[in-house]
Amino acid sequence: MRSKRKLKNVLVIILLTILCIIFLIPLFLMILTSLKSMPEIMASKFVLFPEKALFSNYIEAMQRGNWLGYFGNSFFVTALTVLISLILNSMAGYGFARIPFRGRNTLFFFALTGMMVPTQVTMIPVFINLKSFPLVGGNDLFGNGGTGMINTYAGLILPYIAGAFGVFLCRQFYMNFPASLDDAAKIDGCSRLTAYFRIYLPLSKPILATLAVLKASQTWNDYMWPLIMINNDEKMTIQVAVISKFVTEVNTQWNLLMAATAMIILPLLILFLFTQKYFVEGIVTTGMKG
Amino acid sequence: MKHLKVTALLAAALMAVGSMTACGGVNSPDSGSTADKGNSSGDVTLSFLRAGTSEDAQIAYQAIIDEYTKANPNVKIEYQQIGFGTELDTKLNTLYASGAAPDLVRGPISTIAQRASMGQYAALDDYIAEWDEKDNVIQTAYDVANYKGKQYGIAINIEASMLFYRKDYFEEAGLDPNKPPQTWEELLDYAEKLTVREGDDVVRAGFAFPISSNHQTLIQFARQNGATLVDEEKDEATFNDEKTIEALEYFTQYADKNLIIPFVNQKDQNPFELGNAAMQYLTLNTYVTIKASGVDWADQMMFSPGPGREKISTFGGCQIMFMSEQSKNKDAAWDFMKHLFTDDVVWKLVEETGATAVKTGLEDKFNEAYPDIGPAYLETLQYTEGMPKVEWASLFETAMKTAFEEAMYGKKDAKTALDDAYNQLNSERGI
Repeated sequence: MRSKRKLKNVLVIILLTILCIIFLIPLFLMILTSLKSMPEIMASKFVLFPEKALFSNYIEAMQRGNWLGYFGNSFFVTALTVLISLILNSMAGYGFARIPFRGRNTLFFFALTGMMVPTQVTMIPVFINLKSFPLVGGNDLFGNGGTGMINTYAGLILPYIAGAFGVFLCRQFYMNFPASLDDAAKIDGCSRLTAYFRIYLPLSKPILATLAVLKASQTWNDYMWPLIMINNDEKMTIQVAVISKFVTEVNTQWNLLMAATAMIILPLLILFLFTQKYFVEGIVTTGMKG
Repeated sequence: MKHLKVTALLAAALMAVGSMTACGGVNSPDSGSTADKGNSSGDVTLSFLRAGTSEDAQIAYQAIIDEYTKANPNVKIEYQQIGFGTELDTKLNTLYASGAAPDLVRGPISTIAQRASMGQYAALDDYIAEWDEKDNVIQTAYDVANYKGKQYGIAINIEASMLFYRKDYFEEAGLDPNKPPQTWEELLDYAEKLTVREGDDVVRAGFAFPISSNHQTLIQFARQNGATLVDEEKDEATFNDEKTIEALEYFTQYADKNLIIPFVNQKDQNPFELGNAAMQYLTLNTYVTIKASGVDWADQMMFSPGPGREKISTFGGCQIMFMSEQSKNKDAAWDFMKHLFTDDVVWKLVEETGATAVKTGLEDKFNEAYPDIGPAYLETLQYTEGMPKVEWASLFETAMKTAFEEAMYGKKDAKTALDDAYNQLNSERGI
């Protein structure tokens, strides 16, 4: 029996190792390409390792454009999006899970339908809404006359701060708590809001960490929305910058592109490393696995 | 205490949102595009969107804009650039749908039919009629931007492809470099003589052309053979005819005879630039790149408009200056457009970005500056044809690429490949 279990464990480990290698191959190729020269990359015969590792590609890549600014823009947009979305999503999730009110399930169902509509479908309507946002960017009360939130940080952040998925994730998490917890809070004189802030929020670390990682990677990696929303270099985010600086109509500088890409995945990697314990816990407790 | 902290956090977040929206306020120096222009002091803000992300072009256009705004202090021009294809389409679709279209667009010819028919590009006939310089622009620059009898733009760059060939390789193969191939048969014969193999591997192609992601080669050879490919009047595809099939069959011979180096159609992957091809259709831009790279064989390059059959035809990717119908400052936009077509600006773009000298008065200067490629290039411009001007140009492009690739890889014969591509295109068009 024990040897059977051992064999099963070994097989699982082998399978996981193979999967791990498969997932890491693109990452390794990215790093290796970032250290190659262009003739090496374009050579007719593929060479895995560079003859001489050109770490100078990283310096050269970062010298193309204002990367401090692009990183700053992406950090600012991502940080605010994550912060606000954590507050909004967890409060909405708490409401749907713990506060009984008429039409709760219907409302939740409508919220969920948002997950079924592709971004491409909502892109233009959202853009029009933000362009016609009242009293912003030269607009009057009726949203006319100006440019609204086009080319602003707010235009990058607002569409992402709420989202059906985050609400769903938080609701599932808060559903796991026993009803007696609410009763105890009520007996102790807690209002709903106090119960949320004093009882539920401190217990929400796993789900907030999960949501933070998901939201951060979604916002950090977003390309299409900043592409259409931002008009100049000053507010450009890193994903748009990496394409616009190294992919031109004449050529693609793969080595510099890969060097820049290696740099821009670092913050997400660090975030995940710091939150992976909570991330896994959050996925498990919300029943999102498999 | 914790409650207080969370409340403070919330307040901070709200304040941050407030400050973010304030960034986009009316007084923001970089706010908006078309809408915040024109005020009591007569100031005008124009937005200019250029398709393409080349850094050289960005620097050149920025300098042109700086010079123009210095001379016209009441005009501010917001320049932005974006990649071709999906990126450009998505951005333009969004901006036009929301009423925030750029005043000026430098876009490819493939956009003209769709955007002109949707009323997004403005017809420039009236402006051009009163323009002093109208007769000094080459006719091709007008032709490619004319749609259903109206002039929707003027080409500022025509990437005419011409046959580049290597003098040293010709001599090595016993061919006369002063007699480039004039017919299809000669082209094939020369290619066979010029191909160098190691075992079965072609290490130097006699005549190189991309076999993946390539629509230009089949289009230009089919046209050389007398095919029309698309009936623009009837708005229908015609590329499954005998003429096009014959052109595609001609190319499959190169695969059958093992004469090709397979490569994807990317400008940084062409064998000629890497020294691995004796002949290839390329553009002026590649010439500039090769010259700038300092390779020791740069002086061995020679040029010709290429062979013909019923006629000579070369494919040209065209970059056209358009004005948006939504623009609230058309006069100012036209004034800047005129500036882009002054001799000085056109020449700056030629020198710094490898663009075409689209002014007739610059032909001599062009020949003097580029004595080796100049005359052949100007001759080639006469034979240059762009993409068909139909709303489904992108579907047509895909059909050409697919048919060419399938035939070249031997997956289908030429007729089947073209028939299938034709049926697929019609099915996607819903006809």
